[in-house]
Amino acid sequence: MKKGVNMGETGAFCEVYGNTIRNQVLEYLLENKDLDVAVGDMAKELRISKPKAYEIISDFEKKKYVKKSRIVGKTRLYLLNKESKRIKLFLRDFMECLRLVSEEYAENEKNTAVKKNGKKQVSRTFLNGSEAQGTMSGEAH
Amino acid sequence: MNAALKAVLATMLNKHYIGGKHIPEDKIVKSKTQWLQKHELDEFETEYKQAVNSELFIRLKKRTGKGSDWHISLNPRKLKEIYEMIK
Repeated sequence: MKKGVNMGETGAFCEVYGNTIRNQVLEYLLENKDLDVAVGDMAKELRISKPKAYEIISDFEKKKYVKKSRIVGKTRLYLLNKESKRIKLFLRDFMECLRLVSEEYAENEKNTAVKKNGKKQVSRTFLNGSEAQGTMSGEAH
Repeated sequence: MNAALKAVLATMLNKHYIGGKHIPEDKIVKSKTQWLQKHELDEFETEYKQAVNSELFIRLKKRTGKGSDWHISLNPRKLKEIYEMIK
């Protein structure tokens, strides 16, 4: 098994709603909401077996989450069905998860900036204090 | 905005590829542009170059076992802008 970059890592959506194979497939479809998706490629990226991927996609097709798009050569492509009410709900939730991620990173950056500024102020008072007492080396007593 | 570029941004934001955490450029770009038609691919390339120039992506050359590859991650200072583009 190759180590390195793992495209099958859990995203923010699966962190919130559970890291099941179905949720991973749904998350993949939500990420590629306007793009045609091939089941084999999806299985490879998510590191699941092709039979399982086809089973989930056929189930999603019955529930009208996904519709058949076009055929390129021998490959059948699928597209997220944005007209479905449930998919609209999922899309809203997915966008909320992305908003949370961007806000968390913005907060972390603010906190690290505050910590750096705090350290500089402490070192200034130390120098001022020693200067004020006249105990610095080099001064004759 | 091109659908494939939106998909790249959404995937990277969802999987936390921000700042120091990066992904090979080839891997993500090829996965999103594999089934595009030619005119859509040309659109994607122009918009991707604009996005790199406007510093939405941090693009670095990283040493790998094969030599070196280009890796990308999202710019943490532009996350709000990226989120607005994905909406």
